[in-house]
Amino acid sequence: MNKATLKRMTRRTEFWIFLVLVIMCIAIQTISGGQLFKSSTMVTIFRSMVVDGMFAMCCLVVMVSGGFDLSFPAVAALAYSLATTICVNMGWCTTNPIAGLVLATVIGFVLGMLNGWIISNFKLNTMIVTLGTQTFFTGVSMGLLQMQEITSTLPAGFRAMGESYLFEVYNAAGIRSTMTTMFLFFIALAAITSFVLNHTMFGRALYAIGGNEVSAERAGYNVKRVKFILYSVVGAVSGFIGMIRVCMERQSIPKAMVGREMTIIPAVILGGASIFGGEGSVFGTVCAIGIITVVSNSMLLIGIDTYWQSFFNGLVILIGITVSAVQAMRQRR
Amino acid sequence: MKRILALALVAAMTVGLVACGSKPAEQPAAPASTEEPAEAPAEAEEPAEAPAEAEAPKGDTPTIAFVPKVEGQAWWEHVRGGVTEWSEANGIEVIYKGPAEVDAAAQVQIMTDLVNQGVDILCFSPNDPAACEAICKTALDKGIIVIATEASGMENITFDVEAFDEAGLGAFLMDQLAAQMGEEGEYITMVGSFTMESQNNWADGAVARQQEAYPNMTLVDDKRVEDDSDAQKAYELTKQLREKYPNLKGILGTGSFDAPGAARAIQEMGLTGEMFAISVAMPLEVKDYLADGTLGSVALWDAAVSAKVMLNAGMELWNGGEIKTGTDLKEEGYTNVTVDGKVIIGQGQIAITMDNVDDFGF
Repeated sequence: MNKATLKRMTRRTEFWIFLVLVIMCIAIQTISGGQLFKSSTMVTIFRSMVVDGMFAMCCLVVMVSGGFDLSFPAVAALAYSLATTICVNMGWCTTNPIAGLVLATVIGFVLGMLNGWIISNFKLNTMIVTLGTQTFFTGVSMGLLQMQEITSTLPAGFRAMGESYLFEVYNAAGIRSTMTTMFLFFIALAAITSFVLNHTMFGRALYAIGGNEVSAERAGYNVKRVKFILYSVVGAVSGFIGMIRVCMERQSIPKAMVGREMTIIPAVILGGASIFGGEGSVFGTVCAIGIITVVSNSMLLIGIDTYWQSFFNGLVILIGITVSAVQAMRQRR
Repeated sequence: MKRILALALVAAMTVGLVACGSKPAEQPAAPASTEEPAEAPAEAEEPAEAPAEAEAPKGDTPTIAFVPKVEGQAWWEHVRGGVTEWSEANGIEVIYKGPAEVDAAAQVQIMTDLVNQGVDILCFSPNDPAACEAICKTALDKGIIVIATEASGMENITFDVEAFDEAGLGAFLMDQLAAQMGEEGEYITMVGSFTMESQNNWADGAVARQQEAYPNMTLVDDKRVEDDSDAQKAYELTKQLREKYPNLKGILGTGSFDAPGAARAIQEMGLTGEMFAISVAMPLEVKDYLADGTLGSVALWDAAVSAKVMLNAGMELWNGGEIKTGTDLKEEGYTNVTVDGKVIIGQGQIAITMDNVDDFGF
């Protein structure tokens, strides 16, 4: 490896995030006496990554376009609550969850369209708009529709999918852990996101708009249309992810997603997405979600009280963002 | 003292009425209605005030507010049902308003608004008791009757209603867990949140019970774990704990997400019948686990009944009565309450098993 390649590599935020993830894992592995890289622990960590990781993909594409979406947890919650309620009342999804997934995706799409319509037509600040729609969607869910928790009456098809697994592993003591099938959805979404961002006109349009909206418009991109499609699709995907969560958790709780954006957005920033838009990659985002998940899943293994978890989460985010900022400063020179 | 206070208030009000005399007609009515509570006892001595009384015919009906920990969760929706029932049975309106998520600051804000609106009886279940002390002090200073629940350590309240003795519920949980574990083996305690005082007190009570009655059981780590009242977190923690302590046999949970989350982990790990978990939990949320034997039982009290008792206690005081050991608060389990300082204690704990899991409708 020559000097120039090395220099180019170290300039990328992803490189540092990946390095942090590796060093952290080695440190935890050492402190916990080899508890981290055990098949059972890894399987649990992969499982924990699914929902946050998929939401992070949604956040990533929005941030690349220079926007912020604070409403995705509310979109997901309203979509899965409504879809689950409909399925329970209609007696659907007793064998497979397809109807529920389609319903949640459609509902998410409609809600996303509202975001997209407001943002693209009125050219408002995306953070403000989605903050408003977030509150609005929660209000619709809790006030207008009076969504209730659904637990033991959850359709059997949802449960079956949440419990399905790719393979099972046993630790030394014979304790079983299963690798959830849902992990495939995460892989698929990450792959699709990566493909769209790097190999399609739409992806290029997102980077261009995030880099400089006026230039993008002059260069011939239909900014209004791109934004409308972006927020609609993100809404649909959020609805789908929400339903995946219901299947994995075996319960539909209307309030369960509240505040989730505050964990996921910082993670995406940690992964190298610029808050000014135009930058960010799937690899960096996956590494950042990996860091957050590994930390929250190994606190007990390394003997730290769960009380300190928020502290460490915050610390990791701060370090990550500082590294990103230093990178950005160096680039400007 | 009460009389002097009442007289002083009446005097102040008369001054107020005179002072407001030159303003539009509706104006005096507003301050008059806020002073109603103090006015009632003074009525007999001051017949001159009768006209003012006639303007506010609802003199005997207090404004009541009930602030839950959070709105939307099944537990608190059930409480809302109890409050509504009470409201209909007694013909008195109750404002039911809580934060949209488990958030101490948002809850204090709601309580502050209600106190400023001038409620007469404030019932609440704090997310963080310490954070509520200041606003409760203000409320007491304003003459508001403040009834809390799950906050036996609070100072600035009129009374705190507990469905059970906290150490007693802890012992109740431990007795059931010990029976399932065969009274031997390692266990650990789990709470929804370290700031939820009651849950931590139950856990303390459970540990105390184990130390006194089950010598073959060991608390593997006196550090508690918290799952942020999230079943997913409880699931992850249970798996980590078993990884860290390979002989862990019991999870003594307290919050209503502890047992369901732990049970999912136990089931997945293939440890049904070898590892056990218990906590307070909602019947329907654990029904599947009770049915397949992953959980032996969970503990519960009927929070809707406790809520009615809080309202009954508030009304008892409003009507000038007093509450002491032996008082009948007119709900099952509370017909002969124990009063310890500011804490009203009932006998409301129940064990939920397959036999009664469907009896509650939630």
